[in-house]
Amino acid sequence: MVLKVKDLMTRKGSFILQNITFEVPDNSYMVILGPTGSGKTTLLETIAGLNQIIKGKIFINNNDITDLPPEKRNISVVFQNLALFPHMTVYENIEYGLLARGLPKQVRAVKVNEIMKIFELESLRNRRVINLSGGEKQRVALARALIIKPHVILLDEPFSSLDVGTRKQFWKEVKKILKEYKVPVLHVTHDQEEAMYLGEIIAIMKDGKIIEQGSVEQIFSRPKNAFVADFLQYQNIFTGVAESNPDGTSKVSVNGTKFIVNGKHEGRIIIGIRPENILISKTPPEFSTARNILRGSIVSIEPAGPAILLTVNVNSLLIKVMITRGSLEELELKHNDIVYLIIKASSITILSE
Amino acid sequence: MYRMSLLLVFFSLISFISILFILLPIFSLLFSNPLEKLMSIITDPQVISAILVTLLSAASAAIISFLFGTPLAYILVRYEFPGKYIVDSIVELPIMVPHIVAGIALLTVWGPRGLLGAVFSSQGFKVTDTFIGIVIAELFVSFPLYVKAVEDALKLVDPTLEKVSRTLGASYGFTFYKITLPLIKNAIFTGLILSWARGISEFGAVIILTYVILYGPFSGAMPASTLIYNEFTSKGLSEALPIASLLVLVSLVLFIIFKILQTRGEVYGS
Repeated sequence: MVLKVKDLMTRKGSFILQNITFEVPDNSYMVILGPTGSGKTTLLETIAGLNQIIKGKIFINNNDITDLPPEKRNISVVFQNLALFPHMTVYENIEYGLLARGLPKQVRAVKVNEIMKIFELESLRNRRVINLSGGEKQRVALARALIIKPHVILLDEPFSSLDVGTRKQFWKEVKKILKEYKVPVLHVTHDQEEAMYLGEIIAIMKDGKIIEQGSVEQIFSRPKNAFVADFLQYQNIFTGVAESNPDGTSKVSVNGTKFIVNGKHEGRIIIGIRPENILISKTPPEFSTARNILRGSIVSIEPAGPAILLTVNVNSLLIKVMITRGSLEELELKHNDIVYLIIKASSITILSE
Repeated sequence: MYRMSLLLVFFSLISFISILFILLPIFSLLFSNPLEKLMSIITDPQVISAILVTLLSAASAAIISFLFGTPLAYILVRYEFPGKYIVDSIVELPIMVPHIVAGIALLTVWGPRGLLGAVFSSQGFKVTDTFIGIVIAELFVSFPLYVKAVEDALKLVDPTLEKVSRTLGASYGFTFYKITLPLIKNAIFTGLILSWARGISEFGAVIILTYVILYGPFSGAMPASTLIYNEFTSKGLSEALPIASLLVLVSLVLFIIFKILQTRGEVYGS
C-alpha cells in the first residue's frame, strides 16, 4: 500500500495546514519531525478523516480517499495518549475494530488471540486497561490498531509517555513488528533520536508546512533549510557573503571570519556547521587537509549530556564545538585558552532561508 | 498543622449545621404524625393515585429528558457553532424563571388557546388538565438539570476515544453507543434522578397546567403537591401533614435505592 498526500490544506481553529505533499511508499516508515505546535497531529487527523479538508487529495494505492469518512478509510491511528477505552478490558480493546466491522464472535476470538500472542498480552486479556503499565498500554494500542489490517498506520508521538530506557527498547520491537505487518507507517514526533532510529524517510514540519523531506541521511547530514538545521541542533548557523574561487570552492565572510565551502556561491549565504564536526587543537595543526583553520579563545565550557560543549570566540564570532569529556581532560582545556578549530569544507552545509 | 485542624473543625461544624438545616424539617415532618393517621391515608385511593401520578409523571419527564437532553448535551459539548453560548443559556433559562411564571408561559403554548394547544385541541387532544400537562410542566423545570449533569460528564470524556473508535471502523452511532454512552452512564443516571426529583417537587408550574386531571388517564386524580396544598388550604395542617410525610417517605426510599444502585456502578475518568 502507498499513501499519497497531494497539496493538502486544512484548518483547525485559526491554525492552517497547507501545501502538504508527500508519499509513504509500500512497507516504509516515514517520520514527520517538527516542534510542538507545528501541525503534526492535525495532519494525522486530516489523513485519518477526522478533519475537514479545504483543498488537496489523499490517495491510498491511487484510490482517492479524500471524501471517505474515517471508518471507511482503513487507516489506524495510535494517538499520543493512546486513547485506550477505559471501560473495556485488554481483550475488548483489541477486539473493538473487528466488532465494529461486524465480524462473527469466533472469527474475532481467533484474530484477537493471535495478535495477543504476538504482543505478549495473553496474561493480561481480562485486565482493565486503566490497570496497565505504560509499556503494556502501548502494546495494547498497537495491537488494537494492527488487528484491523490497516492500509496505513499513523503514529502520533506514541512513545512520549515512556521513560527513556523503555522507549528505546520499544523502538526496536515496534519497528520489527511493523515491518512484519508490511504496513506503511507515518509517525509524527518532535524527538530527533526517535526519528533517526525509526525513520527511513524524514519530513520536517514548521508552522503547518513541510519545509524539507528526504532520506534520514540527507536530512540529518545535509539539511538544506536554516530552520531545519537549527531544529537539528546545528548550533553554528551564520549568514555571510560568498565569493567563488577558481578551484570550485567559495570563500564566505561572516563578520570578517572567512570560511571555505565547497561549490561556487556568490552573494548572501547561510552556512551551518554541526558542533561535532569541528576538531579542536591547542597548537596550529601541521598536517591537516582541512580548508578551514580558525584561531580563537574559549569563552565557555558546558556539559551537554555525555559530551562537552565549548564556545570559542573567533574574531567576535561565537562558534560551538562538541568534544568528549576525555578530550577535554586530555587537552586540559580551560577558559580563555587559545585553540585552533579545524573544519573541513565538506562539513559546512549551505542552507536556504 | 494546628491551624489546619482548627480549620477542619470549623468546616465540620459548618457542614453539620448545613445538614441539620436540611434534615430538621424533614424529620419534624415525618415524626409529627400519629402513626394511625399515616396508616389510614396509605389506603386512601385519592392519596395513592396522587402519589402514583406524581411519581409516574416525574419519571416520564425524566425519560423524555434523557431522550432529548442527551443528544443536546452531546452537541453542546462536542461541537462549536455560532450562538452556542446562547443555546447553552436557553437550556438554563427554566432554572431562573419563577415556576409560577413558567406555568403561565407553558399555558400560552399548551393551553386550549395556546400556540400548540389550540392545534391539538382542534384535533380533540387536550394537554392542560391532563396527565400530559403535568409531565410537560415537570419536564420544563427538570430538563436543564439533566442536560447540565450530562454536559459536565461529557466534558470529561476524552474526544480522542471517539476519534480512535471511528478510525477503527466504527460509525458515529456505534461509537456513541459503545464508547460515549458507557462512559457517561453514571452521569445519565444522576441526571435522571435529579430531573425525576425535580419533577416530584414541582408545584408552581404544575398547578397552572393541571390542577386536577380532568381528562384521559388518572382522571380525577391530583398531583401529590397539589393535593397537599389543597388539603392544607381547605382542611388545615393536620390533614396535609400525613400526605406530605408519605410523599417524603416514598421519595426518600426510592432515592436511597437509586443512590445505592449508582454507587455500585463504576466511574471512569478520561
